[in-house]
Amino acid sequence: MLSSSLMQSPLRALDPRARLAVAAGLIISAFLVTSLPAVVVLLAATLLVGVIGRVHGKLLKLLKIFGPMVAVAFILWATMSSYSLIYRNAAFGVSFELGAFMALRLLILISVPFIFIATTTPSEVVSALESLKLPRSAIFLLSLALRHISSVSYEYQAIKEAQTSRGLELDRGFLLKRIRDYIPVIIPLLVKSIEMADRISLAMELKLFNLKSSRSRFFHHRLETIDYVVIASTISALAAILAIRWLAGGV
Amino acid sequence: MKPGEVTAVIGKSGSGKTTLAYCLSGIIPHRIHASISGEVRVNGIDILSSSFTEVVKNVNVVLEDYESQIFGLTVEEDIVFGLENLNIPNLEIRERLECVLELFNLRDRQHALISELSGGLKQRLAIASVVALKPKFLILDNPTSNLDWPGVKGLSKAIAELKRHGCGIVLFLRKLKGLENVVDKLFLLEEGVLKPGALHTFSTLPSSRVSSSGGGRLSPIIKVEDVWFRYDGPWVLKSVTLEVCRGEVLAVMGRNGSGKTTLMKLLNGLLKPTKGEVLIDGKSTRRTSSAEVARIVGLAFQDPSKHLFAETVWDEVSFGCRNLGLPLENAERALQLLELTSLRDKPVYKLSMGEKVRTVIASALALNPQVLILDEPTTGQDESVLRELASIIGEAKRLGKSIVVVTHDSEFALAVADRVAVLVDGRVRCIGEAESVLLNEQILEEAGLEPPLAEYSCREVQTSCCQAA
Repeated sequence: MLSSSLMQSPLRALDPRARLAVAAGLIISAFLVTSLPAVVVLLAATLLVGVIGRVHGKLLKLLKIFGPMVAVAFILWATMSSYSLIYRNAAFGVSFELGAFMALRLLILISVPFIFIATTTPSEVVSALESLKLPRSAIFLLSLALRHISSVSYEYQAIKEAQTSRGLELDRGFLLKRIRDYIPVIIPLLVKSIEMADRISLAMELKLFNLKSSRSRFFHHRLETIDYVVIASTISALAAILAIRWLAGGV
Repeated sequence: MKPGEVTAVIGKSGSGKTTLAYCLSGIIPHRIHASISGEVRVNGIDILSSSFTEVVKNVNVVLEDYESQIFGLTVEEDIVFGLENLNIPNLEIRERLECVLELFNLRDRQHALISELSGGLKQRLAIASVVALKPKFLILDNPTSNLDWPGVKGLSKAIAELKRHGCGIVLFLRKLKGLENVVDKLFLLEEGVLKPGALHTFSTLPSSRVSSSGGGRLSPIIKVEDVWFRYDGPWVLKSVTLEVCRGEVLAVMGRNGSGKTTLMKLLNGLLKPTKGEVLIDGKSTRRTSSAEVARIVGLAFQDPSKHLFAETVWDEVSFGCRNLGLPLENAERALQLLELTSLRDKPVYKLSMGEKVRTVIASALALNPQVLILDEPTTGQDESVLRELASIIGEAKRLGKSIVVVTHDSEFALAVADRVAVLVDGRVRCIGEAESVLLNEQILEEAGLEPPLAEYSCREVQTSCCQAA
C-alpha cells in the first residue's frame, strides 16, 4: 500500500518540490495550530490533497488500519492529559476537546507522509532533495530505503503466502496467538532483508554506482508557474498561522 | 573470449556455472573471497588483480538472481539508473534508453511499475539495463530461466545484435534450446571441469505418464466456474472455467504474465475470485479458511530458494504438520517418497537445486493433500532435475493424487500431463489431451509456447497412432 502510485493526478502534475512544500507545510501547521476548529480545517485540507492526488481510496484503507490507534489517542488524551509531563491542560478531569484535537492531529501526521510517498517516486524524492543541496549520501540512503519498501513488502507477501498455503492462519484468535503466529513470517523476513542488503550493495557496484563520483541527472524537473503558486500559497498560509499565533496567542 | 563471439557453458545445477561466472566478472575474488589459483584475463585485463570498478566497466554480468539487480521503480528508471552513474550527457542516455527498449521489446512497458511485471519481463529488463551500459563483454547466468518461448527467441535476436556490435558474450545455461543459432563455442561444465561440447546434444524426457484408473474422465475435485480476477488494475483472469479431475495430471501453460500463477493461488484459496466460484471438493473457497484448503490442496511454489525458511530439511517438511496438528508420520512418509530421509538434518541453504525442489514438494505433500499444485517447477532446472520431477509426479499420481503443474516446458508437459490447459491473456484458449494441444502449431504460435523437439513430436505421434491402432 505504501509503494508509489504512478496514477496521473493534478497533484502528480506538480513538481516534486511543490509536493514536498505542501507536505512540509501541512506537517508544520499541524504543530503550530492549537485549537480544535483549526485542526479540523487542516485535516479537511489534508483530505482534499489526498483527493487531488487520487489516493483517497488508499488513504481510507490506511485510516482503517490506524483507526484503533487514533481511538486510543483520543481516550488517553481526553482522560489523562493532566498526568502528562509535557502538556499541561488547565482543567483537571475529562476534556473531549483536547482528546479530539490530539487524535485529529495524529491523523494529519499519519496521512500527510502517506500522501507524499504514494504520489512521489523515490527518484523524484532524490531529485527534489538534490535541488535543495542536501548531502548526497543522506539523500541516496533515503531513496534506497523508500525504493526497498516495495521489495520488503514483496518478500513479506511471498513468505506469508508460502506459510499460509501450509495451513498457517495469521488473522485468527486472540492477540497473543496472532503475535505468536507471525513469528514464522517475521523471522524469515528479517533474514531475507539482511541477505537483500548484501545483494543490493553488489548490484549497485555492477551498475557502476559510486557515491564519490558525479552522476548525470536524466529526470530534470523545472518549476512551472503553478508550482511557484503552490509553494508561495503554502508559505503564505504558514506565515498567516504564525502571525495569528503571535498576535492573538493561538489559532 | 573474443569480441563479437558467443560462448555457451552448459552444466547441471551445482556444476559450478555460477562460480565460473563470478570468476569471469571479478565478483570472485573482489566481493566473494575464495581460494583461487591461475589467471583470468578478459580483453587484456587481469580480472583478479584489477580493481572491481575497472573490471565492471569492461565485463558486466546479469546474475541468476536478476531481481536483485533491478533498482528503479519503473522500467525506464531502472535502465537510466546505471546510465546516470556513467555520468554521460542526457542525449546519450536518451539514445541508449531508446535502443535497449527496442532491442528487448520493452517499448510498451517503458513507464510500467516493476512490481507489475512478470518474472520473464523482469529478467528481460535486468539484461536490458546491463546491455545499456555497453560493456565490452557480457556474462549472462541462466538468462532464459524465467523467459517464455517468445522471450527466448527475443533474447536470441538481441544476442545476435550485440554480436554484430562486437560485444563478447558468455552464456551459462542449463539447456541451449532456442539459442543454438547464436552460439559460436560450446563447453560442458561437469563437476567443475570444463570440456568442449558439441551442439545438438539434447535428449528427450521419457514419458512418465501413468494411465488413470478406469480409463474415462474421473470426477472433478476442483471446479473453476466462470472466474474473473483482478488485483487493483485490469482483469488478470477473464471468465476462466476448468476442472481438475481426481487422479489426473493437468498442465497449465501460457506466456509470461498470462495469469498462470494467479490461477494457482485461486485453486489454493490464497486468493478469492473477484467474480465466479472456485469449488474445492464441493466447497467454495470464499467460505473455506486457508487452513482447511491447505489440507486438500498443497502448493509448491515457483523458485524453491525463495520459499524455504526453516533451518533443516526436517523442520521445513514438518512445518505444515506441526501447524495443523497432523501426525508427524505424514512428514516422514513425504521424506521417504521424495528420497530425502538421508538429508533430514541438512541445513536447507546447503541443498542443491534438485534437493530444494524435492524439499518444497515434500513440505506440500506432508499435509497429505488430495491435490498437489506445482507452480513452474521446471523453471531454470536441468535435465536431471526434470527427470526427478517427472518421476515424482508419476509417483504422486500412482498414490491417487491430482496434480496441477504450471510450466513453460512443452516437452515436460508432454512427458507428464494427461491434459493441458492453455491460457492466453487471462482466458483459457483451449483445454484438451496433451498431444492434441501441444502438437498443434496454431495453438503453440498463438499462446507463445515452445514447440516440442521434432523427435519428441514424432515419438508422441507414433505412440498416439499405436494406441489408436
